[in-house]
Amino acid sequence: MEFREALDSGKFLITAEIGPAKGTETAVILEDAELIKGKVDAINVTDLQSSVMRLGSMAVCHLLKDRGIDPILQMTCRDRNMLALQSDLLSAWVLGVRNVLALTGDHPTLGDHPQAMPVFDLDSVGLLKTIGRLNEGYDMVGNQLKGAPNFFPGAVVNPGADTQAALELQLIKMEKKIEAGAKFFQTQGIYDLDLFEKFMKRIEGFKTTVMGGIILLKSAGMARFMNKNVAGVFVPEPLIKEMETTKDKAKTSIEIAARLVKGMKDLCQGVHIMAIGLEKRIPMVLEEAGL
Amino acid sequence: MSISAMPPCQAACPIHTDVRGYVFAIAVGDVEDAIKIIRQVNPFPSVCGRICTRPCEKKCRRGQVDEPVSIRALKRFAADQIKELVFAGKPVQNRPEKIAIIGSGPAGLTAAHDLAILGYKVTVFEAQKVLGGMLSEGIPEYRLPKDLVKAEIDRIIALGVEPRTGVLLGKDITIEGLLKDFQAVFIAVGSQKSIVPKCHGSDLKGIISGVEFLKQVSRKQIPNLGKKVAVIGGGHTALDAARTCIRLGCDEVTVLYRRTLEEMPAGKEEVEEAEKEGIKLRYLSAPVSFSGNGKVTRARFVQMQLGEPDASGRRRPVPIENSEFDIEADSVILAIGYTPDSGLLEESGLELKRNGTLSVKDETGITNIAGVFAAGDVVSGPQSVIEAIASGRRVAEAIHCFFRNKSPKEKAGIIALEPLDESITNLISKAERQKMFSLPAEDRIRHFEEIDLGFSKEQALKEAQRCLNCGAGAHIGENCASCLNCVRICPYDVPSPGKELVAVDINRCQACGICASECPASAITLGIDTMQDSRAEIDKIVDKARQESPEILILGFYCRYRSPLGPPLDRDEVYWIGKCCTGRIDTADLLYPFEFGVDGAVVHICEKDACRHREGNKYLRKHVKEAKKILDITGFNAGRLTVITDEEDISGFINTFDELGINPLRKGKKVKL
Amino acid sequence: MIIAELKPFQEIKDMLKDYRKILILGCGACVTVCMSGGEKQVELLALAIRMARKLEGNDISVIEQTLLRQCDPGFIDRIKDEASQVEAVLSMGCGAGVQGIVEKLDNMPVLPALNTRFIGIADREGNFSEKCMACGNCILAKTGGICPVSRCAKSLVNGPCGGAQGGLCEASKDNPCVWQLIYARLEKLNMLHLLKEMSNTRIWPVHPQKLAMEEAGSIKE
Repeated sequence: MEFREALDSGKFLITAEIGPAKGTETAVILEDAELIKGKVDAINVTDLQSSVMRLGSMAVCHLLKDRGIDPILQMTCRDRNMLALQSDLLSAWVLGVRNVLALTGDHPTLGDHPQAMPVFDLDSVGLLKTIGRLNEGYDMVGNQLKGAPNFFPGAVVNPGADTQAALELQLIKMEKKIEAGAKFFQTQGIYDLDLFEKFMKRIEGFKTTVMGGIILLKSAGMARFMNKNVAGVFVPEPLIKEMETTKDKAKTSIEIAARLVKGMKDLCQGVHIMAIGLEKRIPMVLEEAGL
Repeated sequence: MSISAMPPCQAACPIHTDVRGYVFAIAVGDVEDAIKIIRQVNPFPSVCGRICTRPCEKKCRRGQVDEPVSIRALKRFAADQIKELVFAGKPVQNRPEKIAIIGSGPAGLTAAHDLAILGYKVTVFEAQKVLGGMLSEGIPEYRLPKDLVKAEIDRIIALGVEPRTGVLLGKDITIEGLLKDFQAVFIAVGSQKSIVPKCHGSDLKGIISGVEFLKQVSRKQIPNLGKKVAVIGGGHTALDAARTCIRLGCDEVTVLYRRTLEEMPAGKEEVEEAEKEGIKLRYLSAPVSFSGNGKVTRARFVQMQLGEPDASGRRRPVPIENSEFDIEADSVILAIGYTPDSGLLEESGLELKRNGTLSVKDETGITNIAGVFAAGDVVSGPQSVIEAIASGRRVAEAIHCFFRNKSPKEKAGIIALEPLDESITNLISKAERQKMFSLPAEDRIRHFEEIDLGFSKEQALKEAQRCLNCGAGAHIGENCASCLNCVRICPYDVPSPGKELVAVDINRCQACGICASECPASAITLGIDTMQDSRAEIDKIVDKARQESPEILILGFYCRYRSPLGPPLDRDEVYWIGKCCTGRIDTADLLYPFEFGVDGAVVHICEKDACRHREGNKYLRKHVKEAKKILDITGFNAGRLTVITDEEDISGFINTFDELGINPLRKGKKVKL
Repeated sequence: MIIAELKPFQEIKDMLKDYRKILILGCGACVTVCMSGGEKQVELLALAIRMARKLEGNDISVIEQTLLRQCDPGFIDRIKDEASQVEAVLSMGCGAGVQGIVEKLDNMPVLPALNTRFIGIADREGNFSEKCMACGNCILAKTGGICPVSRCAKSLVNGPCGGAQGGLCEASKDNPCVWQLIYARLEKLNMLHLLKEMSNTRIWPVHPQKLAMEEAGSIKE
């Protein structure tokens, strides 16, 4: 079943994420993808994650398609102007991609080419609108297309925005994204289910599909690192303690993730698991969560 | 310096002396410049430096902070230090007209001075045997030494003025007669006729006029005063007479005045000194009658009380009924007022006013007789020396215009700077007014030696540095880009953004110079101690060093307020420049000397809270930091520049030159030095 | 106001290495206010250059002048005489100023002593911050007078990205997330509804841009 159908069916959605390597080597991520094939409804392929130069999302999405896995193309606005964005969307369609996650993208200063030009010709809302136009058979400026795509677009939202203003702005932007055509949302990694519940209550009226993000913990150190450096992610102290005191990090990591999955079953329409190299654990997480 | 408003001291001075100018000159140790400035308007600095009534000090704005600057004492200091004629105002050209001046007091002699310099032939006629009028004969030696007066008069005569002494108006000369030989006549005979109270017995022997008495004493024709003397009056003449009597050995000298100390023209200070010398003062006492057998032995007075104000605004004294009292007196000296010898003047055909003084058109001194001018006490009644000098100058100009057919210069309206407000006076650091040394009372009454001893050099410098330099502050020119940096940094909060340029209220600016050193547009010029002054001094020092060829040449900047007497320490290697607050030294000032081969530079800085302007040292440090950075970047080594607070620090700094060596520009090529 | 910064001394010295007689030209407008190119700065730079060159044994003669503005040919006419006596002009004006001089002195090198940084304003202490990027299509009416084009690292005009932490921008941790500033201001002004409107996409002008005198202030449709 394709991702779109899965969403329409109303089942509890499960997606995962893989990040291409810096180079032409693809064996590792394809292997990871195989491990979870069948257990997830789609796999996101990241687009130069953290502004580090890597193999592109489109190429890997195509390879996933060949292996019978439905990919979600992550497309950021950081590196391409509106010509390139539209063109790459058409190219992606031709290469079999059907789902797109429209993102603004990290600033180049965060990556290994900090001097690169930050393009941001469009932002995520603009990109979603563009996808909508292409779907209708027109480019951004109104020219008719010879052959139109029919993308299933999604976007991101950050329930963990850490100031009142930031959260309100996230919600306003979420509405704009829905208006611009976003059909599903994947969130940043969540560790506090109470907070997530509050968030879901606030967006009750938006009537959209939300998949809660889950980041597998590798260690206490990783948790602390994320708390310091990753916007919107906050690992509460008790969980850090769990990772610190456990004798079996992998086991605890899986337990925590499963707990979160179970919690989210009642709160939203799916989960998006970000394993960051620990893709092999995903089946175990799902098993323990009873999915 | 062209400014639109005058400092209040200059505005108050009848001859508008550039007080600020000469006080500043003294403050930086240039006494020669000070006396030059004074002599531009005043031919009697030694005299005024001792007996001027000081209208300037009354308006001095330093007085709003603590006490006024001792302006008069500083004038005296300058006059005493520089006795040779520095400003030799030589006659400009020879003019044909001849002018007769009757009376050689300060009014007459000042006019003679000015007219002689303009090139006219001046003859001064004087009734007495000596020139000088009240200056030579009417003021006691202990207040005004005669040799000083003579010296100043001699300078005036040396300009080519012809003195004719022992010549009486009405007897030896007449105005009609003079007008035949002279193209103008200036009457400056003063007011020397004593007003005699309408009392019974005022014609008894032993009752004498104060001025007459003083003249006799100066001619060494001392009258027999007896033991007890009563002096009636409240002005300087009354006190001069009283203090002279004490010195002549009288046992009891009493000064009686019909009003109170508050109203006494002589002033509280003089009265205090007189009382120290043993003179008794009785206030609210007016004479009623004198009694004696041919010669006075007793004087009767009545107690007064102050009633309603009179036309002058002072409360009129009114006798209290049945309050008469008697004083035993072997002599009575009258000093209640003076008028000109009106009979003499009327005979000459001159118009008089009701009070007996000569009537003139206005301050040009034109009388009812063509070609005849008058000024000084003969017109105004007894006034101070400085008023007489001012009137002499005005008439000299009027006569000059009369001859040259010019109209007198448009007298520009004088705008004086306003008093300071609290927001500024609270920010100005206080400094005590210097006290001049004077002879103690018990000693000085035995002789007629000068009582006040004048300022020492240290006192004079310190006192002069108390001057706030009113009006000589920052002026912002049209280069101003309104960056508002000066608004941000002024320690007195003076600059304010204007429509086009930032404006500095010249009334409030304290001339610290910090804004000028920080202005990126170089738009700010100061009235004193400018950047050009610094550069000129640096050039002079570099030149001097070129001759002396020292092994190590270090340029030193020091703060004049911290070290008023001059450079704070003496090392052969260091050549010093004094600044009025080191805050005005900008980065370029510190670097500029290195281009010319100076080996090092040091700034002797005030401690953190000791800066007169509170923030000067902070900006100095900032500029030193910038300059050091540039010295490093350009390859000269930041170690060549430093700041010291202590004398000891300098040795350490000088020793570093063993390693640093001389300025690299001096190596090899023969660079200027 | 244009904010510019003095280049590193070594770089300026290198530019001048072939010349023995130069004119250093300051500007009395923006760069005086930001204290990088006014008359005082001209004096200091001239001093430093002469000192450094003297030390190298390669003297340089420097004429110092400051114009009211370098961005107008009328002012540059005033230094034609001085310019004719030198081999190169070192301009302490902004990038526009340097080129303003080039337009009038086309027969000699005109070198920049400053790096033009941004359009900005001063705070109370006199420190400068960027406020405008001359995007040519001002949307300040929709953002409470706070510009996301110049003050958001990504120039986002539809609200923030998700990268802010503790109210600070992911791209430079000592800048606030400008969208949170916009939010706070619109909240204060009771104008939060403005945030819900879609903004236009950015319009990129073709460089170099031109503007006729009559156009700038004319009341258009």
